[in-house]
Amino acid sequence: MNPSSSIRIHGIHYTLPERQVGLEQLSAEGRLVSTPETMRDFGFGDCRVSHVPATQLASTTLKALLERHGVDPLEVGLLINASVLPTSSMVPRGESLAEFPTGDNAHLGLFRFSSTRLQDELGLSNARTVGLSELGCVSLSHAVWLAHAVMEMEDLKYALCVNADVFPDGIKREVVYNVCSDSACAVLLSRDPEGLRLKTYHTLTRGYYWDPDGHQNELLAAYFPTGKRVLEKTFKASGLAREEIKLLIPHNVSLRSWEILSKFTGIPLEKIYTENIRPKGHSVAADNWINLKDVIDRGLVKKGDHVMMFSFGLGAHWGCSIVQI
Amino acid sequence: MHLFLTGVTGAVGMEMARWIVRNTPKARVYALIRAPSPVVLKARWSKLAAKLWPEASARPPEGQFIPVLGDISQPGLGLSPEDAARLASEVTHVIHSAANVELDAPLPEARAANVDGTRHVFEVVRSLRRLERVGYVSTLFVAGKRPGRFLETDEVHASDFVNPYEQSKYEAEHLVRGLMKQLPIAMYRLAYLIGRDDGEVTRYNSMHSLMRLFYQGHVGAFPGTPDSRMDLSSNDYAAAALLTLFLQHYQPGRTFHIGNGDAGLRLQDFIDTMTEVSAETERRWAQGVFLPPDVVDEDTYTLLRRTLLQTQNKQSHEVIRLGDTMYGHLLANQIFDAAPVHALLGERVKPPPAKQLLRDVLRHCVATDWGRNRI
Repeated sequence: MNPSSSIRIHGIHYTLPERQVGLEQLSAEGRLVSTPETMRDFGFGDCRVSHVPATQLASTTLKALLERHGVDPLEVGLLINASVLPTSSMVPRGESLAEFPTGDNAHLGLFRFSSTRLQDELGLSNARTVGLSELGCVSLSHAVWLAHAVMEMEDLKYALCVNADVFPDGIKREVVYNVCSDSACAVLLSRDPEGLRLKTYHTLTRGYYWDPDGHQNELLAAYFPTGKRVLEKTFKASGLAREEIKLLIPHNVSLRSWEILSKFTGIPLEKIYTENIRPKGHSVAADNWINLKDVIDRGLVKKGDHVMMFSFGLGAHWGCSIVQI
Repeated sequence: MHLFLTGVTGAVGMEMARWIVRNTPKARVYALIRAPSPVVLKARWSKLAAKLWPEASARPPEGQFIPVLGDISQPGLGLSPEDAARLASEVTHVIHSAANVELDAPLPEARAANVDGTRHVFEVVRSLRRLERVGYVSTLFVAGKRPGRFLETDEVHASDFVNPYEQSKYEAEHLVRGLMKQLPIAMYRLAYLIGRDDGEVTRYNSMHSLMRLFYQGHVGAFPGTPDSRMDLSSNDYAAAALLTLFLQHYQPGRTFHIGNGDAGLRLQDFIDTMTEVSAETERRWAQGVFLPPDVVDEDTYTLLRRTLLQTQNKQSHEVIRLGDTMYGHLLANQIFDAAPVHALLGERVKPPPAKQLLRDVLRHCVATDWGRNRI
């Protein structure tokens, strides 16, 4: 990334549903693949379940972010709506401005996009909108990277990235041995020099693992060695040594996987912020940014510190960035 | 020499048969083969001979090899009275190489073949009136989890075993050693045999399964250190070394190590060689989609192993189970000392370079889809 870039991460806001569902209940509802004991052993506790659709979570979260930072919606030049689950990126039935089309126009229901709806609802009338999908849990990090790149090219004052995902009723909440929560997280980018600086973002996509069920064992085998290499390349690209990283901000996949990756990479587990895994679960693409906001709010990092953010998305995508506070 | 040979259908047994035909044309071999009837015995021998000597001109002369119907799991090997009498009066040399070499066979099953089977063989050996020498084929891996350098003179250890196969062979060695005061027996501990010098695999085993999983991107980590050794060798070398030692350097009561010794393949060399050869035919290796597995310490591997066993993924469980039958040796950081044999045999019989052997064997495995297709 351009080392003299003036683009900064100006603010983060997230919404976690208040409803917490425990592992036993999830299991009783048939929403786990493994036993509750295994999931507990892997570091999970509760998951958050939303009663409202993803589009509504996204809208609420974006609105709160704009208000908190006093940003005029008309000054936002870009909105990237990054969702993991296809159902989260569609305006749900009965939620459109008009009635759901029927009869000969029923197919137009497929074109009810949440990105443009968000633009309208929030008054972001000068923002170009982009919907981003098929990136799994690296979606929001990828969105921030893309927004950063677009802001470098275009004279934009603000860009917004949002991720909101809500698991459909009845679907399992255990995804490759991780307990998944509903959530929304929005990131505001600006040119305010006080913001956080995205110094490096390294990604690796390995399409061989596109079928997470059919290639699950290969994926489990590749996860740690590939993660280790992505991490090493990120360090190399940043020119920073491990000791210069204050914290590794993870996505909230199983604590066990972090224990193993810690051993693979030699990064001590104490340096990995894993406190949110048990109470908040794996908020698919939002975790890193939720955790980043939490470590800042809790005073665990100070101005000038470097943090590393690592995530993995089915697909398969590995993503790793370094952010300077 | 009138040789009674068990295990002729095994990897090293087949190679010994070839060696004998090439090097000791006057030897007569009584080859014990399991079969339900003399008719089937004859058919099995014909099929084996065609496999061992595809060209008719290379085949042994009529009468050099005499298939004998028998089964090491049976007392007295289940020999007919006629065969038992014939062996008793004619056999001068014995090599017992028959074994159950399945690393994951349950211990009672492994013991039945390797301990009880050996006991049954020696019941017959005791009856041989012209007996001159006996060779008992064992494995270097009787060392179990005993760490460090393992010598020919090392016999007893209190370390655990990595798999039931080697435990049963350890127990069989104890049995054989007890007979050494009464019978002229030498013992030959072999390395892990993975194929012929040209890479052909005649018997697929756990190492080939591991190579297949590696090739297909199923292996993420090996426990040990980059310098952990894998003593892999060829059937040809094992057979040639064993028979040369047996015929030219026979020493009753002695144990010989037939392997690579200090030149055993390093784990990192195994990984690098597998990666390099896999890239010749598998695009995902060539393009770096599949990455070489990491070498991790015991704690890391134990945690990874426990985690994968907690998943519902049956393939992961298979990979773990296979590793459980072998990886203990990597963690024990063993070297099987073979210097005495190398000194005895010198340049005449040398182990093939392990990396080249691995390359050729993997190429053969890929070309035949691990034995499913003929080349």
